[in-house]
Amino acid sequence: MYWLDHAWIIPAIPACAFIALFVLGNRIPRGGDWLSITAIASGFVLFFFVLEAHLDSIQAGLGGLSNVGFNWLQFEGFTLRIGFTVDSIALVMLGVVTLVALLVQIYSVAYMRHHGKPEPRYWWYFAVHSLFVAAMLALVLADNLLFLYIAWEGVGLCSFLLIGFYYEKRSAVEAAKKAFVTTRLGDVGLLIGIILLWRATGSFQISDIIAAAQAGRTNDLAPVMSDGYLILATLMVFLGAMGKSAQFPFHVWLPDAMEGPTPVSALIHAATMVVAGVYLVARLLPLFDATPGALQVVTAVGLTTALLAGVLALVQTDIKRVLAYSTVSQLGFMFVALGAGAVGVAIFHLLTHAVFKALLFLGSGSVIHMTEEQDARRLGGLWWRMPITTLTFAIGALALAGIPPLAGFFSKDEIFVVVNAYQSDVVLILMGLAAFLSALYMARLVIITFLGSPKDLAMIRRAREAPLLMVGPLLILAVLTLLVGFFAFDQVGRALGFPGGINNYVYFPLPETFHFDDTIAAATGVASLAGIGAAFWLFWGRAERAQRLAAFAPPVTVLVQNKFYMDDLYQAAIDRLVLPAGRAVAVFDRVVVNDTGINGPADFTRYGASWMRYHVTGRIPDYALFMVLGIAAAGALGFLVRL
Amino acid sequence: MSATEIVFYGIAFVMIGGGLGVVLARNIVHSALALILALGAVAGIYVILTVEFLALTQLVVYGGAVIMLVLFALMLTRARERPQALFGKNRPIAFTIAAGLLAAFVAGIVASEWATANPDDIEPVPFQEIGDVLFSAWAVPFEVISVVLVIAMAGAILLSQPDQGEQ
Amino acid sequence: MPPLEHVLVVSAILFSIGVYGVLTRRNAVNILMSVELMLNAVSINMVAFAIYGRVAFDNTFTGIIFAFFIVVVAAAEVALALGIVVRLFRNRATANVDEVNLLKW
Repeated sequence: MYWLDHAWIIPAIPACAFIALFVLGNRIPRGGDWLSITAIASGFVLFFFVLEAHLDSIQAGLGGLSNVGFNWLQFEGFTLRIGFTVDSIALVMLGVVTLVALLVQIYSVAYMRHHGKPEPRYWWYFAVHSLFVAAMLALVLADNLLFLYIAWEGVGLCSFLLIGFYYEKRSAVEAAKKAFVTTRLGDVGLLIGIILLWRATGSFQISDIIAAAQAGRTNDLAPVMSDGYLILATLMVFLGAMGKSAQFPFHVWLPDAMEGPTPVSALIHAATMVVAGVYLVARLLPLFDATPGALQVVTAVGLTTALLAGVLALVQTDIKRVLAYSTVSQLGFMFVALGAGAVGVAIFHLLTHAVFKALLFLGSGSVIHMTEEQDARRLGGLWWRMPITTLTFAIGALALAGIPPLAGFFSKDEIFVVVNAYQSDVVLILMGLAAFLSALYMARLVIITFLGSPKDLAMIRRAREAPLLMVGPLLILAVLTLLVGFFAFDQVGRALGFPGGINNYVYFPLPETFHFDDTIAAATGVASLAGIGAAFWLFWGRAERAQRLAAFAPPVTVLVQNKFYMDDLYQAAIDRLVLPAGRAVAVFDRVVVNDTGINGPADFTRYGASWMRYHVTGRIPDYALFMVLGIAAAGALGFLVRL
Repeated sequence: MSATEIVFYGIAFVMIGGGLGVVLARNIVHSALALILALGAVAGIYVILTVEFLALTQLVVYGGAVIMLVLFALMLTRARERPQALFGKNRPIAFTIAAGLLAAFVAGIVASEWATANPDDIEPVPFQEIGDVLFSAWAVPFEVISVVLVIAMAGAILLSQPDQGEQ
Repeated sequence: MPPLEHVLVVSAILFSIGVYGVLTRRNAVNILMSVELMLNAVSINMVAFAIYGRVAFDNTFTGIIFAFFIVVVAAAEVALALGIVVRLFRNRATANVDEVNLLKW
């Protein structure tokens, strides 16, 4: 049981690695990549110790929960606690983060070099990676919202730093800024929500807050918060989750975030950080469940995002942007699952998605690294130059499309089952459409990138299979993609020592078994196959049918190609509202605060001093005289007061 | 008026005379000699107040060390060789301040109710008790003050060293 | 023994003389001597309070100890101040404080 109470060591190791890298920087041999990888590898090993302790504890009937921590700051009525909690959700996330981070870092050793030479700021890349892993693990293990918020901002900072890693490129700087500001909109909501919940309950502890929210709703205790207050606070918290997980209308930052190095996109913008919003909602699901209407909002946002991003992914030509929109869409799937109240299903999809999306990103990274080209219109026909990459990428794409028996099939099917059980048929049909779209855009991406005939001979001559350090992680992830879906079955879970399948392990409020539904499975399978077939029909060869389809309804095409004008809407809002307001504040700042408030006293002092200084003689007798006069005056004053 | 009181007033007279000599003498060396007189008289007052230990310290430290230092400083600054005005231009105002202060003090002393014993009941302070207190209750301040002394000594040595390149 | 008030008045006179000296004298060494007069006046006060208040205030020696410490601090102060004066004389060829106007911006 030792490791159950010492899970905090896992984030502590990369945090130490970050400090070492930050202080020593390039003075460490090889830029310290080995240090970062060792730190995260030890975290990955320790994860199994924690998992074993956790399962032992469950087996012994102790529940497998742990909560340790200490009070860091204590004021009147306010305590900042650094506390760590271990439960099944946290453990799944722990495993995902450490595994993907380890593979991505190994991959990065090769990716961040060109012709054997490390890129500039190689050490900084690994330093921020370590910091990210530490912050992400702290976020996962946090037992109170304030500590979670600190870690939440920590991962946001790392995301910002890594998107802007190539800060010589203006587009990277702009993308980093956009990501930071957009997520900031949500983060402010999260902070407000946390403060509102704290005001009502006097605690940041997640368990206290959930108990307070449930009081008077799911039990007979006196209610702590009124309905309106609870709805406001919960929706504010959800705003944070939407920003981080790039849900509509905050989805605009994620495609631009692809300006960062591709392994960063795999780790932060596909597998881990962007699912922090899903994780937050999953952890707080009892709160959302107790809040009237909150789950409906979650469902609506998730559904809108899943459909919208699926459509947008169809017209993107940059392979990374296609994957980015597909990530947004899949995150929408997870939110729909959460909206149906199925934590286990959402976490399962999170797990499988992390594996196959990391695989897809790393595969696209190996294409980009070897061909130095990421526009799918100039790629194509790569399959015979890069067979392993093509094969693993195809496995990931099929998994995402939902072809049995790959990982995505099981998790997506589970989502359909819970949607069918708890939501209306409209939601189910729209979800089916989203699933069809994901199959369509993934197949399209594979077709125009890897299959067909080469469109650029110089490119194809450059292309070679990626080195072992890059192909290795791809193969590991491909194998996992093939296997991890079977975790849905109780028999597989029990064989591995879990109390059952994923639904039996991660649950709220009651364990559920894997409910395989033949009709739904067949329907989704057909939808996926139809998507893939449609992709071949539309995009095979020179994609003439797709062009004709686009020409069929030009306004729609223009609308989609301009991403529904979301970016322009934001730009207009910034130009018309934010900047004028900023200018007004700037004028106020310059005139009232700066000129009057700060320079005023300073000018007064300066002019006063320029007059006074002619009366300062520098002679001791004068000073002594005034000193004695002052003391005499003070004494006289005391004398008078006493009398 | 007892004999002690007569002696006290005599010593006080000598002390005030010495003090006036310090601030009024035309020759600075005479000032220094008047200072010896004043400080010696202070030691006498300590004796009257039955604190012989302090009187001895006063004589040793002031009469010996401080006066020596003052005379050396006078010698080193060759003050005597330079006939010049001894007083600054603040004399009238300084006199006003000093007289005002004195008036305020005396007024305060007379106006206050002093919760003291009858002067005739006062017992002499034994040497030994002062020693005991000094090295028990006041041991730490005593150590601190010795450190202060050492630092002052080091500082004085540093100050009196010639500059770089100066002979 | 004289009454407490008389001792206090005598020390007040000595203190005022010291103040006058500090304010009027030009020579730095002479100013130091005046400061010594003031310090001694304070010491007399301390000792007088200690002696006259000993019975009323539970046999405390604090005033005497303070006088002792004043003597020690005064010795330290004189050593340093005279060092400064000698230094000043060496650099400026004067020991008169009103001929020096270094203490300003």
